[in-house]
Amino acid sequence: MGVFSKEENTSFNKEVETIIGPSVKVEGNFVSDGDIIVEGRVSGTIKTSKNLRIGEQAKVKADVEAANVYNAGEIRGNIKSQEKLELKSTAKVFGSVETGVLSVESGAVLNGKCQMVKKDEMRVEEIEEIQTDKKDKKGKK
Amino acid sequence: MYLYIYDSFLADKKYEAVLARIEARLLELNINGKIEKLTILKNLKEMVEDGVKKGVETLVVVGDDTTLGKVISYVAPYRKVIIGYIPIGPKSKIPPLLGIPAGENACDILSKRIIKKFDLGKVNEKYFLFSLAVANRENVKIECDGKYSIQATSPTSSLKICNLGLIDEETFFDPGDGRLEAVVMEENSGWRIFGSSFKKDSVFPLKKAKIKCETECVPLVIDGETIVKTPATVSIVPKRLSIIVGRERKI
Repeated sequence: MGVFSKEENTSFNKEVETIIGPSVKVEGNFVSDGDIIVEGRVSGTIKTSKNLRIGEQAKVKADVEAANVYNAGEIRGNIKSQEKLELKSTAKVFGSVETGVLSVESGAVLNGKCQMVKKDEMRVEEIEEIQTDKKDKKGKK
Repeated sequence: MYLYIYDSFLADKKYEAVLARIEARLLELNINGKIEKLTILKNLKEMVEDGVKKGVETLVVVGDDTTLGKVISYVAPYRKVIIGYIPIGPKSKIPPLLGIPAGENACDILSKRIIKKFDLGKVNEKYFLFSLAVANRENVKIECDGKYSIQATSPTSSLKICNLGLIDEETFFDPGDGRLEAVVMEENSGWRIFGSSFKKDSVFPLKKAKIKCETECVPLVIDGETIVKTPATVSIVPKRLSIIVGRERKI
């Protein structure tokens, strides 16, 4: 891990690898193996195998994929969460949602298709997607 | 064969006693060697190159973190040279991470020779141990790992790419993780990334980066000393530096 801390109490912060602060603009495909905190602006895609926290002031114009998503800001794009998606009262989502567990606080905005998927089903879907991609590539060759 | 490089600030009389104690301890441990003292007239690069030509295997930096950074930028091309560090002076912040005590106590660490390999950063063929700072961040874009780009939007923020550095007493950038960290820091927030003001700072782990400025050539400062200009390509050189550390190290 890049930034290491022995004193952190919260489990989320313990393994935070990427922090996108409010004074930063990120463009492109952001892929990480660690936890991500977004407080600034991101456009493109965000993908992590761990946790993603979107802060109240954050504006995300991206498709988002993570194990757990905690959203208090604005996401314009599709969300795919393998485990849990938590929408706080200040959250705004404009896009479709795919998650194992959904928690929505009163006041949150969710405009889009919502699909509850079990973790294993999501994996099967992903494998199927990969296999179709491979077939397509072979077909092109 | 040992070569000891003393920084120029050690010429001050107040360091005479500690230097005498260090030299006596090195003699006792039988690890004494040639001593070179930096002055305005002596070129550090030539000093390092001469030492390597003469077969120096261990180069010991006597001074503070700035001295260590300067020496490492010249030693980095020579893989076989092992770095030792005897910290003296108030500007030494890194020694506790390396488990090296200050002054003559560092001699015992040297003699035990626990060697650890650290990554180094590289920018346009120049190496750095600590960090690379962008002097003027306006219109500067950092392309990280060829996948995404970051740009600071606040006029008060500063940009850095770090390899080794202290955030606070317990939090640091690890030079053994095979990655660099691009950091966008708000002027008044300091290094309190995980504290109350962590929301203001940004940290991005990366292996490769391109620093560009659309309007002009921006100076980049390596370890507070050497200057290179944009466009610059930054990369990590894993396990490039061999350094003697103590048992009590945190890294």
